[in-house]
This record gives sequence, C-alpha cells and structure tokens, in this order.
Amino acid sequence: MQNKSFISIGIVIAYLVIVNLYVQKESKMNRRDDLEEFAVGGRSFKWYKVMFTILATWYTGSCFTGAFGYATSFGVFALYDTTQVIASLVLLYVIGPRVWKWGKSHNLLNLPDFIELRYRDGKLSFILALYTIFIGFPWTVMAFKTFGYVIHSLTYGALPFNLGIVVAAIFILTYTLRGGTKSVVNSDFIQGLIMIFGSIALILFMTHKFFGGFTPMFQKVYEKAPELLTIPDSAGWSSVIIAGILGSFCWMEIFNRMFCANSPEELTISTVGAPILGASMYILLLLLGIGAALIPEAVADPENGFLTLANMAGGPIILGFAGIIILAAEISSTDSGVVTGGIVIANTIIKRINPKLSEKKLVKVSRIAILVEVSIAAILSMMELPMLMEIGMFTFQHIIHVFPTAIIGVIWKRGNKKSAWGGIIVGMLITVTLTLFPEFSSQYFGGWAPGVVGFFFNLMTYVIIALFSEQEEYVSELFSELD
Amino acid sequence: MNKYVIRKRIYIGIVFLLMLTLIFPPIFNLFNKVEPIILGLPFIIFWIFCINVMIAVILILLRINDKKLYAKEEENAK
Repeated sequence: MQNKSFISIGIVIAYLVIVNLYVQKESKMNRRDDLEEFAVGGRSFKWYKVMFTILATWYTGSCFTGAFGYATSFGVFALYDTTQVIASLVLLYVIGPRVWKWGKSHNLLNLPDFIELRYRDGKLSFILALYTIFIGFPWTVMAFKTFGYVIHSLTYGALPFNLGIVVAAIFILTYTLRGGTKSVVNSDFIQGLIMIFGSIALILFMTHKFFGGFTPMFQKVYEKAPELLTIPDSAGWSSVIIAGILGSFCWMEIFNRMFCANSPEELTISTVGAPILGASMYILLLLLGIGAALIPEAVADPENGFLTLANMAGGPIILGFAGIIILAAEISSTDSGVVTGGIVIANTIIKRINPKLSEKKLVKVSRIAILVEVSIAAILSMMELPMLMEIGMFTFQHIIHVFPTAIIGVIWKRGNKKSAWGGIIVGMLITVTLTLFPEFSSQYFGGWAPGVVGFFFNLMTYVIIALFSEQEEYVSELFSELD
Repeated sequence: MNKYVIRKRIYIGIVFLLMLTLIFPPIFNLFNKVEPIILGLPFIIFWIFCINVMIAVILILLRINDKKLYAKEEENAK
C-alpha cells in the first residue's frame, strides 16, 4: 500500500472512531427496552438536531457521486433535486405540526401507524409498510456499494471494495442496535454538520483552485459545452421534480423524523433553517459538478468526479476529507433507513402476525430486523447488480402513490379507506401499464413519467371517491384534536 | 378571517406560484435559457438559485407569522 493511501484511510478511520464515540456517549437509552425511545428517541430532540437529521437523511452519499456525475454529464438538469428538496420542506412546514400532535397523543412511531390511525384499516397499513420497505431496499443496497466504492478510491485501490462494505456495516450496527433512532439522530447531527459545512468549504476551495471562482467557470462552460446550461426535456424535468416533492414524505425514514422533535415548535423552527443550509450545499456541489465537465479526468469517470477533483486539488489529505464528507452523507441516510425499516418490520408486520408481543420483545425483534436488513444489503451490494440504479430510479415513480393516502390524509378530512385503496390500485395499474408500453405512454402523455401520470389518476380517484362518500365521524374527531 | 391566516395562505400561494415557474413546462420554458447572464450565472441557474432563496425567506416569514397567529389564538381563547 502506498504512503498516500495510509494518510487518507487514516483520516477516515479517525473520523469513524470519533463519530462512534460521540454517538455512543449521547445515545444511552434511559429505558433500555422502551419502544418509543428506540423508535422516535422519546420525542425529545431540539430543533437543531431535528434539522440536521432531516438534512442528513435527505442528502445521501450519492449526491456526491451519482448526482455530481450527472451534473458533469447532463449539466443543469441535475439541479432538479435542489428544487424538490426546498418545496418538500414547505410541505413539511405545513404537515409536520399536525403529524407530530397525532403522533404524541396516539403514540405513533411511523407512517404505517399514522395510516392505521387515519383510515382505521390495518390491512392498508400492513400493505403500505411492506411496499415502502420493499421499494426503499434498493437504496440501502446502493448505499453499501457506495461505501465499498469510497473506501476503494480512498486507498488508491489498495483496500478491496468488499472490505469497505464490511467496515460500513459493522460501523452502522455498533450504534443502531444499541440506541435505535436515538443514536441515528445523534449520528445524523454530527455527520450532518460535517457534510454541510465541510462540503461547502471544500467546494469553494476546489472551485477557486480549478477555475478561479464560479463566474469564470461558467464562462468556460458556456464556450465549450453550452448544451449543459439548458434543459432539453422540460416535461422530463417537471416529472422528476413533481415525483420528488410528492414522494419526499412517503419514505418512512423521512416521515419518522416528524415524530422525533420534542414539540411542533421545534419541528417548524428546524424546517425554517434547513433550506438555507441544504440548498447552499447542494446547489454549490452541482454547480461544481457542471464545471467538472471541463476537466478530462472527471469526465472520464463522472461518478468519481468529486473524489478525483479532491485528489487533484490537494492529494491524500483533501481526498480523505472528501471521503469523510461522502461517508457522512451516506452513513447518515443509511442508518435512518435501516432503523426505521427494522422498527416497522417489528411494530407493523411482526406485531400483526403476533399481536401478543410485549414492547420489550418488539424492541428485540426490531434489533434482529436491523441486523438482518444490514446483512442482506451488505451481501447483495458485493454482487454484480447492473440494473440496481434503474430499479432505484424506478422506485421514485412508485413511492409517490403513497402520497394521497399519507399526505392528503393529513390535511383533508374527507379521504377514507375506500378512496385510499381505489387511488392506489388505479394509480399503480396505470403506472405499470405505461411502464410496460413506453410507446403508448409517449404517444399519449409525451415526456411525462409513467409514475407521474399514474399519480394524477391516483389523486383523482382518491378525491372523487372521497367526495362521493360520507365523511366519517372519527376523522372529524381526529382533526378536532388539532385545535 | 384573521389577517394572519390570510397572510399564511398568501405566503403558501406565492410558494406555489414560484414552483409553477419550474414545474409547469410552458412557463418553465420562459426561464430555461442561458442569457441574460446575471451575477455570472446562466439565467436558468440564477432563477433556480432565486427560487431557493425566495422560498427560504418565505419559510422564515411563515414562521414569524405563525408565532403571531398562535399568540392571537391563545389571546382569544383566554
């Protein structure tokens, strides 16, 4: 192994040890087998921790690999994600306090619990729990692939890809098994700080170093690759933004964050602060990604572009720093995903099969589920899965079908279980049909994604059935709790 | 209707209109161009940046407005 690989891997090991010590110290469970403490951290977190856990869960390591490379290859189109995140935060501002209040008074732990409370339909909650776990899983596998990729790059190829995956899996398990969501929020807080402020500093440094600033960078891009500075397919652009906004709170790990704040006030304050930090980081990152189109080494391997630029800018020390940022982003998203998945498997799926399980046993089952999830994802990520990215992108078109049931149900009293089932079935059938017959889809719906078209019919069905049904008394009572 | 409730709806309406400029293709096409270059940024990037800043500011205004709204509601309840 070369000396420079020792330096960068040393930086990463030091980082992992420090983060782990911090998380272990901050995440001692007051009551070891308390499900509420394990699942939502006892609803005890202040705004700054909630803000960073939202940002850290939202921005994954793939922002620094896949999205950065996408900006290098396709230019300004990559900025769709910045827009969808900020619009989603407005949505969080609107629904967050309501969801929190219901969560507190009915002891809700995640999205399926809310669905069961809102629609009084255990089957709907059970099916949506399975569905969201299933479509979220490819992202966990991709996250572990990113760990392997980053460790391999940081050691200049000296450490094998699979070793990076094993290290990341062990690291995540050391604190998630012990402290559940409490440890996840603390981990996300420290890693979110590092990701946001570290990456802004590094991006500004690299932009100055390679181009002398953003203005000269764009002058060069305009001269050499002007096609990167406009969006050729506006319907496709709109589709991905709409899908992103609608899907944002249907991911269970994001929905779960609303229950972690210690009051609705803390939740809204966190929402106000998040866009400034999140948008600053992500826009700067993607602008640098567009500029990377001028650097042949980055163009040769766009997904590795961020690490390539870091290495070119400052050798192993800056490369190690860039690696920490990517790991921080990826670990803080993956830990949230596996813990919420584990808790939902125990509290919604296993509990439905065996309702007599005590709270203590449910915490135990959650821990086993987390261990199994991480192990399966890590093993799968060691295999060749060429379609994984396509499957991941495909999931975005499917998660949005949860939106009317989950999010419209938060703000509109009329929705009921018939409208929820009707909307999901119609929307899914149309999405699957249009996906299987792309020529028909493009002939009648142009560049709109099948998921977005299906969502439109899902929403219409939900609204029409709800309007033609009688409003349910218990829903009015639920909404009156908000006053 | 309480003036703070009206103001809240106006703020959310503005966010919706701002988002339309990015997600409704016929309107979006008006912004999807390189020139004029403003502050060294191609126009589309400048506009995306502006939308992000404006929505961040609106969220701050919403929060200030909501504080007053809740205070007023508590006052009325007493």
